[in-house]
Amino acid sequence: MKKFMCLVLALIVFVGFSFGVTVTMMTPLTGADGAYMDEIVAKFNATHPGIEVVHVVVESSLDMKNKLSMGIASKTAPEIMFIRKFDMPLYLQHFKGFTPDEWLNNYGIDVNDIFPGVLDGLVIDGKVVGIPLDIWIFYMAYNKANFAKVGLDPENPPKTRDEFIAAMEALIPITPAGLTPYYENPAWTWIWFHLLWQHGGDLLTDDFKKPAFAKAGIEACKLMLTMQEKGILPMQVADPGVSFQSGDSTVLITGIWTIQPWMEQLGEAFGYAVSPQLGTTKAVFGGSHVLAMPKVMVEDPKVLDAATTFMKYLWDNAIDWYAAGQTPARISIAQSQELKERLPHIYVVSQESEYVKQFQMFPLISEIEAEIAVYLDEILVLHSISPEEGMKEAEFAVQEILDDYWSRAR
Amino acid sequence: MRQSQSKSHRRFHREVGSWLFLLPHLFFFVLFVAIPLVFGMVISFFNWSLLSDNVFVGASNYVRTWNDSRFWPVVQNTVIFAIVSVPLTIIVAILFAHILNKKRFGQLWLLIAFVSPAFFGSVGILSSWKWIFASFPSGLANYYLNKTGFINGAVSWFGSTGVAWGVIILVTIWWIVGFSILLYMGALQRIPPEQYESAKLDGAGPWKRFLYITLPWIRSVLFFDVVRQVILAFGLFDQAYILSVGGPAGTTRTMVYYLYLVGFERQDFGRAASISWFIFAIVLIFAVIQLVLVTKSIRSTEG
Repeated sequence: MKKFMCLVLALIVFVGFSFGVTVTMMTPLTGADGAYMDEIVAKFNATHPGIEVVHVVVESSLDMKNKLSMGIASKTAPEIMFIRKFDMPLYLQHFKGFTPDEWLNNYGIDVNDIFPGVLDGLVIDGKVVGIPLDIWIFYMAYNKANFAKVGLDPENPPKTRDEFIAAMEALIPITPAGLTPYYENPAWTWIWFHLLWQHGGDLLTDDFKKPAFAKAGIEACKLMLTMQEKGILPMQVADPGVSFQSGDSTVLITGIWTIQPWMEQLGEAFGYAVSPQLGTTKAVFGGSHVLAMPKVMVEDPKVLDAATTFMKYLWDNAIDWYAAGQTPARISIAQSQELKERLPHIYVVSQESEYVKQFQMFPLISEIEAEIAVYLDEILVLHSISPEEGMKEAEFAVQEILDDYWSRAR
Repeated sequence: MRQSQSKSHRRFHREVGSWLFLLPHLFFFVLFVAIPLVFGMVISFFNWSLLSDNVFVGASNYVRTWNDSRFWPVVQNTVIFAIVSVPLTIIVAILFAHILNKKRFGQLWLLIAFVSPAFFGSVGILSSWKWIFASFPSGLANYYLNKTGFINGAVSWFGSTGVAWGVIILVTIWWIVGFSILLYMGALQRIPPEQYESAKLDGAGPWKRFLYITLPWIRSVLFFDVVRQVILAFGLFDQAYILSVGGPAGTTRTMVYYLYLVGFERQDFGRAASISWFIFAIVLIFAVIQLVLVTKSIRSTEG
């Protein structure tokens, strides 16, 4: 009997060791980029027999946040979050923090190699609570064939506001009725944020107590209204993808995640460049996917080690990930010859990474964005109020949200 | 003495039997309705978060909702939607029930066509409608309306308040009217044909026959359908969330949409619970008003 018990025990220990540690990573990668991540995970699993990474995808930011909140409360969250940076503020106190030395010494992750603007807001009490892996930066996608049709140089796209407006005006004659050369949805708030930052503004004051966007926001709206009046930008809500893909519209200022599909679909007609500077300040809209670990899930040193090993693997092999349509968060990769040779389009766009502006790390940033969208609709879609009135009302509404938040903050 | 004992024994058995029959429903009612309701009421008095300790705040969530400048516009949006969509849905349902009640070729297929949308999930249905009402020129509605000369150029279907609501109401009626048609068809089939025949002999036209025969006969179904439609209308969420995303300018945000934003976007569950009780009160008021109005109108036709 004793022998039998020993055998069973040995079997349990053997089975336990043979499975190693399983860590789950939750990502929002529902598009084609999910396949790139699956491939990286598969390679990691094949080369690390003691660790199994399971890739779980959730549809939206909201879904991810709800699952994360529930997971932290019930200690069933994934061990690794591959989370959009603007979704993180609610959880900053709930992610495992590391001193830069810990990362540097133990795992070879040098946070000084990350673009400073991208690391902003991720250092809490001297500890790094998340490692940005990429930047999804705005760039300009354009149709080279259309440029050539109207005598514009396809290899020399516009870089300044005047050049951009002139080029778009030149493209109007070849643009089908009902469309505009720059056929983008004016109600897409991220375009307004891009222009807000290019006009030197920001959403909130540094202490997050007051809105601070009115002045630059008015300028951004005025620029968009001017483009609408000139027939460069649509007057109403628009779905831009189909028209750009068919070659009916010519330009989009959009996220880097679109670069791969456009290249495949438009072939030689597709052109890419850094976003033109339409405002007074050199700035470009960007977000990041950040690797972070919920504290309650990595209390076991073995799990922490397994999760960090995978994060280090991603850190080292990030260039495979950028092929999905992301620019590097690491300065050394953004400037590397390897990136230039393997992914020249990513290399070109990533040269603007040092000017990236990202959402401030305030927990209600999405709600504030949704509230501003209401007034942007009124200004740019319904054309029922002026930019001055709209921004004044938007600031009032945002102040109400901030007051409510701070009255209950603990 | 013995007789009365055996009587009470029988009554006891009968009552236990009734309760046992009720038990399966009661169990699920308590589990999925009663307990969540009580729990929702409790949560509404707390600053309730999944990520920190919950703090009792008394009625402050209700006060915040009452004073919230964003809440009342969404109540207004929802009420207007209910006032327009409920009568429209009922009229369309009764109309089609009448048409389908007469024996005709292909009646079954027509019935399937009307009723089947009610059994499909919202995301699939609404994604298809979103594709139909896409704002680019090759969007299905734009393409065919342009081709047939009804419109010139691409229409941005969710770019103005009126059109956005029009599309939402259209899709809603298409989606939910089938079940109402079934209800009214069932009610219409119970009406004795002799009543219509004698009314015809007395010279009553179609409108009078509808008013004095059909309406009184279908009143109990109408009661039920009105309450059902009011509850559905005040629960409007999927259409606004998927089709218009609450826009333009927040004009298609509804009460439940706002509840969702507060509860899940902000994760302020206490306040979301208080909003849900506000919604309950508003739905109750409107359901009672509608019931009183419908009862009165039917009584007047009977009298």
